[in-house]
Amino acid sequence: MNRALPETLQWQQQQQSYFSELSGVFPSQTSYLCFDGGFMSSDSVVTREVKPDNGLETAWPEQGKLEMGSFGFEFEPCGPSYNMNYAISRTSSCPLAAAELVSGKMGSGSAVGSGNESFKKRKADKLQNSKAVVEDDSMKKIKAYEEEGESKITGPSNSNKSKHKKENSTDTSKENSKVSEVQKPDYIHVRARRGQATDSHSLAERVRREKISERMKYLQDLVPGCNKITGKAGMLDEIINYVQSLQRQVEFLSMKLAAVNPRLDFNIDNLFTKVEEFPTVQEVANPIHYQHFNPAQEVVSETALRRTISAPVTIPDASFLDSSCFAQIQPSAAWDDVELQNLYNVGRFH
Amino acid sequence: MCPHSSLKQEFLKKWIMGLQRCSFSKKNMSILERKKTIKLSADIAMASARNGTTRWSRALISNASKDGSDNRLVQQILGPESNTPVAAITNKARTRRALVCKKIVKRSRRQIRRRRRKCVAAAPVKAVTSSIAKHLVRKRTQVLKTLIPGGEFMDEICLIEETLDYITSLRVQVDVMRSVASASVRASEP
Repeated sequence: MNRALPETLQWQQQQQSYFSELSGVFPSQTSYLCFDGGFMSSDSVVTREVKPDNGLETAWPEQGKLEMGSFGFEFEPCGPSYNMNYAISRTSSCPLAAAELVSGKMGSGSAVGSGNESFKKRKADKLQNSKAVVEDDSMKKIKAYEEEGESKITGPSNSNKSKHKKENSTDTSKENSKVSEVQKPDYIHVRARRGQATDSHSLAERVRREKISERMKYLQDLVPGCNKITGKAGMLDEIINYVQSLQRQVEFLSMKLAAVNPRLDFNIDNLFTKVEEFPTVQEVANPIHYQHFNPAQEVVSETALRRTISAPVTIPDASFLDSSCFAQIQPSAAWDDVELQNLYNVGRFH
Repeated sequence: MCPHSSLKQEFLKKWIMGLQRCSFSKKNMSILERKKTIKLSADIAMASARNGTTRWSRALISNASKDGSDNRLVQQILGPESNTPVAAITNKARTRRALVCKKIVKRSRRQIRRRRRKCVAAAPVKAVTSSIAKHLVRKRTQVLKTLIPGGEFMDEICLIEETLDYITSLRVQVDVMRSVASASVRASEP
């Protein structure tokens, strides 16, 4: 999953370029820059993304090596801390449960708890107090150079999308969308973007919007078919459809179970005498699922259901479709029945 | 993406145990009653698998234990661990107060907006399209709030987090129920 990574990749790119300017090759820096707490997959991604930095380097030949050296040394001690804090601040917003589930992607479930306290309201006037004055000057210079280099970076990398997502939230258009987050014990300091108001209201609005867009990204990965949709309204629509379809599936399955079992006795041991295959809710299968959920069709293929339901009172329309969908999807099964039996046995003996 | 099998295990265990407890009480239920108990036990098993960490699970359990008819069922299913409904109800009381305050703020904001609209002339096209988009987003968040249990009491950020969690647990529920259903269908065939 690359969605959460692109913004952090920006930082890595910048710092990569600084280090490489310093001494030609910093082979150890790639591992140095990768976060200790998480983002295990970023190792390979970083090495790939070093290439576009050549464009950056050529853009700054007039800059004295000495200056770059000072920048590099400036950033070296705080580089990993920057990234680590950035990583933590990005992941701290997830709830622990959701973080658990997406930990395969984020890889830093343990870092969430530690970063939680840092995610509080920010103050605009703390911008000046952050770090040293020297860094302020260097940041401004880097901003200026970044505008030149930005056009070269945005081409090869696909961090454009996330940047533009942020930019669309304001009316004015700007090239520089860098947000620096320096970790202090209680506050997150945000540097105001160029041409944007710095009062607390709009900053708070921006924080809120960024949180929302970050979570929408997770939802994009979770809900199938959401990769092409970029607007909030469209994605919300997809999410609503998906949740409704899942709820309808639960209704239908409970009806089916009620029809099959006249006495509500689920003796799991007897159920798995044969070797069977079970379908799971897969990414591929899902679009087939709820595309068929139009109340127009009425196909009943479940004979057991037909036998037992003589006078249907409140059966949802979609239930008739679900059976046809399931009949189609069963060939694409992936879950072993042995696994289910093991699940039950393990649960029983606890 | 495959949810953790531990979640599936827990859900299955709680569901089957709950159903067994229910089946001892009543005999000869109609099909709709059976369906209701199955669905209810599945929902409550799913919610209790979260152990009160998420809001939707607490809201679901407190909603189910609110009605008199389902209350006995819920108590049976939950068994000796009956501390979760109490916590859920107090949580709802607190959030109801917050909701009332939010409603007042929203109402006043709406009035201000109406007054402003009367004064301001026709807006440029860009503002109109963005206002349409905002309107759509607002409508859809309203719909989403009705879908997620306990969603009316949450703000946008919490709502999206809860949606994430709710979607994963719904998926687990559907997976397990489907496999049990197909297994029992095959087992019942001669």
